[in-house]
Amino acid sequence: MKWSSGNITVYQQSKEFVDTAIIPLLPLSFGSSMRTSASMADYSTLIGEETERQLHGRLFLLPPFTYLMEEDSETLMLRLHSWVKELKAEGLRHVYFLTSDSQWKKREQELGETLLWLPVIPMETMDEDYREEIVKEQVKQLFQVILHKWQES
Amino acid sequence: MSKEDISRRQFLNYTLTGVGGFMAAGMLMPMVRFAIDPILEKGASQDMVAVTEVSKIGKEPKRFNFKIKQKDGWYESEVTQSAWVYKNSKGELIALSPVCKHLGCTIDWNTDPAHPSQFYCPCHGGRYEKDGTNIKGTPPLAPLDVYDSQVKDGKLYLGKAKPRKGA
Ligand code: FES
Repeated sequence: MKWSSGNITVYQQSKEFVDTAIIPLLPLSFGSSMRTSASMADYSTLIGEETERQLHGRLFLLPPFTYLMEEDSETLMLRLHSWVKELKAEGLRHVYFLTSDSQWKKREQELGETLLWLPVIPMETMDEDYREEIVKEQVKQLFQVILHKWQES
Repeated sequence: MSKEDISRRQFLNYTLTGVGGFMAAGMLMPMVRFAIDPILEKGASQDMVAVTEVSKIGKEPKRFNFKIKQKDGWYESEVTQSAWVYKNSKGELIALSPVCKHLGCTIDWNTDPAHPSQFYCPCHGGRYEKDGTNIKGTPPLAPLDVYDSQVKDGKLYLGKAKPRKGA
């Protein structure tokens, strides 16, 4: 489900069925990386929403964790860990980070949770059907990861 | 003196009945609206969308995607929907909604090796028979919704997905 008031009643009534959260990690940047950062946002949003649509009843798509590209990475890591702590306390046992930002890829070990890292595909010039196909294809891959984890637990 | 009294009582009577009547009307109104609405709605029913050629539909459920216009708050957008479509043993076309009746995940056909030829929900293991009937002992409490469907010029048109009574 999405982070929207319409879903909260259902969530509160069926908490025991919702054990997974996805946090999109979105960098923000102006200047030369502006386009890249916006493309990343487009892409992660599409992927996140499609995943949410398919796994609506067990997965929470949280509002994105946003930061400036130049921001100090230690502080970011701390903030992110405090998100995770809160989510775990809430019973969301599986936490995933969804991002195209490669700085996270480099620090995957420290994250402690599964990183779903997808190299960004710029979509603004693509025609709609093709875009949909790519998103579906990518989401299928994420599915494998998420379903596998579910089966293990 | 007494004449005035009566008229005042009458006045009160009138006004009270008036208020009471007004309140009763207020209570009736919503009931009338509930009673009438479904009829009104029919006229404004959602347009049917061409989904596939009938010749492409077999006995095995197959997933077809189609686009509908959806009003989200105040703006309209196109969303992709899908349906599981097949021909049953009587030769009728069945189009089922892929949305799990438990908490709304997307179901798939024949993906649970332990239970072949059923619809399977990856989220909490909900299962449905081929005709959409929910299987007892799994989380969903109702059968899959069925799309309004229509065949015209060899094409299958789908409308709204509608709920059925529980098993
Ligand atoms: S959402 Fe399908 S079984 Fe729970």
